Amino acid sequence: MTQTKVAATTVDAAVSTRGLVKKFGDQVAVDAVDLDVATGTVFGLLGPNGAGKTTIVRMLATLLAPDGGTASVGGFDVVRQAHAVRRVIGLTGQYASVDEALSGRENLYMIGRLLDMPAKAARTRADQLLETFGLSDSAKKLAKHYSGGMRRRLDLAASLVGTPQVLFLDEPTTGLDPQRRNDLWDIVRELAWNGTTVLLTTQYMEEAEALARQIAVMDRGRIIASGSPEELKHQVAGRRLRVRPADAIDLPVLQALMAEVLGTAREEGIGQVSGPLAEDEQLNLVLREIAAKEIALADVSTFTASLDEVFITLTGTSAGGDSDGGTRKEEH
Amino acid sequence: MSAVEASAADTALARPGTSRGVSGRVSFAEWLRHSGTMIRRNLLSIKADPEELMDVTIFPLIMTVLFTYVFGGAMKNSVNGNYLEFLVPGILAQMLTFGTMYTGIKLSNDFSKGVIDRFRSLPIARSAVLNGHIVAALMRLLIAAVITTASAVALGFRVHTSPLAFLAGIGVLMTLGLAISWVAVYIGSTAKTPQAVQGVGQLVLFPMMFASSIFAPTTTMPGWLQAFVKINPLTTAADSARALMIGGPAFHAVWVTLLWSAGLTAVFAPLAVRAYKRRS
Repeated sequence: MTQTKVAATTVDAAVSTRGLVKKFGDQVAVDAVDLDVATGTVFGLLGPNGAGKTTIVRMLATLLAPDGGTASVGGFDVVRQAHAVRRVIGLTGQYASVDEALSGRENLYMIGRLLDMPAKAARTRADQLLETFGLSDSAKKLAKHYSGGMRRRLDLAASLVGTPQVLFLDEPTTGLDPQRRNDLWDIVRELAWNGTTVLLTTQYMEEAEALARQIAVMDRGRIIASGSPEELKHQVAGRRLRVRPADAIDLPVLQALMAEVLGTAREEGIGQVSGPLAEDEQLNLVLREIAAKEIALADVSTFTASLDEVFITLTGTSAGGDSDGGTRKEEH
Repeated sequence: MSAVEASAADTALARPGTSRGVSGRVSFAEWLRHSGTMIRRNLLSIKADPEELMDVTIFPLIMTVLFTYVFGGAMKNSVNGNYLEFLVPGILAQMLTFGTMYTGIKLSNDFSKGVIDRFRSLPIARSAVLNGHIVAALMRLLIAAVITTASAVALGFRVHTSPLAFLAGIGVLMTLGLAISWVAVYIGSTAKTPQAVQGVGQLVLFPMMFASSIFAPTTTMPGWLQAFVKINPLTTAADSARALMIGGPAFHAVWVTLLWSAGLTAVFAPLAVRAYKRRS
């Protein structure tokens, strides 16, 4: 297990949870989760569908009461000081929505008024946000007539009306085309640049890597790895050696040989074998052994696993079934 | 880039009231303002979607016209010669009471669309959402009452008592309507979809509407049905409206209608608030 906790630095944490638990009937949706999100940073909560990401966000946003553990946002307890938490957060998610029967402008104005802004200030703020999110031309259009991308921007604008200290973004780009997604990423970066703490959930490693300084990978309610994107890559996969024999007949021998030197190795679909490379010395060792066995090679390469591969390795959500040479002990 | 920087700049706007600390209390002034904002929201949604008013305007209008011309002639002799006079207070009774069922559909829609979650993530009184729905529903009924009365007058309907008595009639009906809106909130908070709310609403409405004195005098109905008709709040509501608008003894019918209102409120208001809180 490769958990690096950002331990002991809770003083500066905008969001902090300890042993957070949520159960739905017999099912444990969130299982003893510890999180610390440093103030003013973007934190990525990454995991497949049903991992428990949204449940965590809903608890942090005071929409759902935890069954165990503690959680604080902006220094306030999400259960005992829920009202105070609501004063410092913004929420954009699969669930929190704008009112479709109102125009974009009316939606933002309404939220401004609910946040106790004077009417004029609420109107100014609404127009300002519509401008920033490129919605000025559609300000008077009903939200139900917005396109998917416009809707998502309005959702985000709605969560920013009160200039929140902590912003929760629950799968903010799911279903957006790449251009819109990049626009939204820019907005998130800018928010963080201006001091907003952002906790975002996503199914895409690419998104977490693009935005987050710290990432926690979730699977089945638990955090199975956490750290910076770089740390995750190294901890979990590091550099790998990939070798392709000239003749596929040699694959089993090659795999056994590499497993012995590298500790583990697996055959990959297209007639090659790969294994983790802990140090450069192992490269020489493997090549010497191959030469001794007189195996003809077609290709040798080293590579660093992409974060997507890290994700797949950790959560086992994709083609984890193909023949594992070694024990996969480095993976779990 | 603008908004984010600007928002950081004008921190005066940022979360007014943060300084009030961790108190979970919403002041009375805030509660009023939040509720007002929610009422405005609901009225705007009527403006955006005028079809929302159809079931309390066009529908009763069609019923009035159809019933008057289809049954009017045949019914003449059993209602002292003027079916329109008999029918209009009945139609008003049906509309101003069960018209609030729509509240349940709207509330259910808020739940299923995620609007409630947005509101719940804001530092506002939870009851503001309900207040908005209920007050807007009553205003919707008022609009409907005006439209229906005006069209009825155009068809030849006349108030025989006094304007004050007529308004008292509307008041009695809306009191029952307010009580029924708690039933609507309860159904809206417990049903899974807005469609389900509509289904349940109609399931309740239709037998109550026809097994009542709204469309026909009850004297020719069989005894077992009369037993139900007599205690049906729509019967007492229609009888109250008739007495107050056309004439006749009003006391008993009004008293029973108000009793129904009190009873429904006493039972369903706590149930509704509990169901709403549990889900929201």
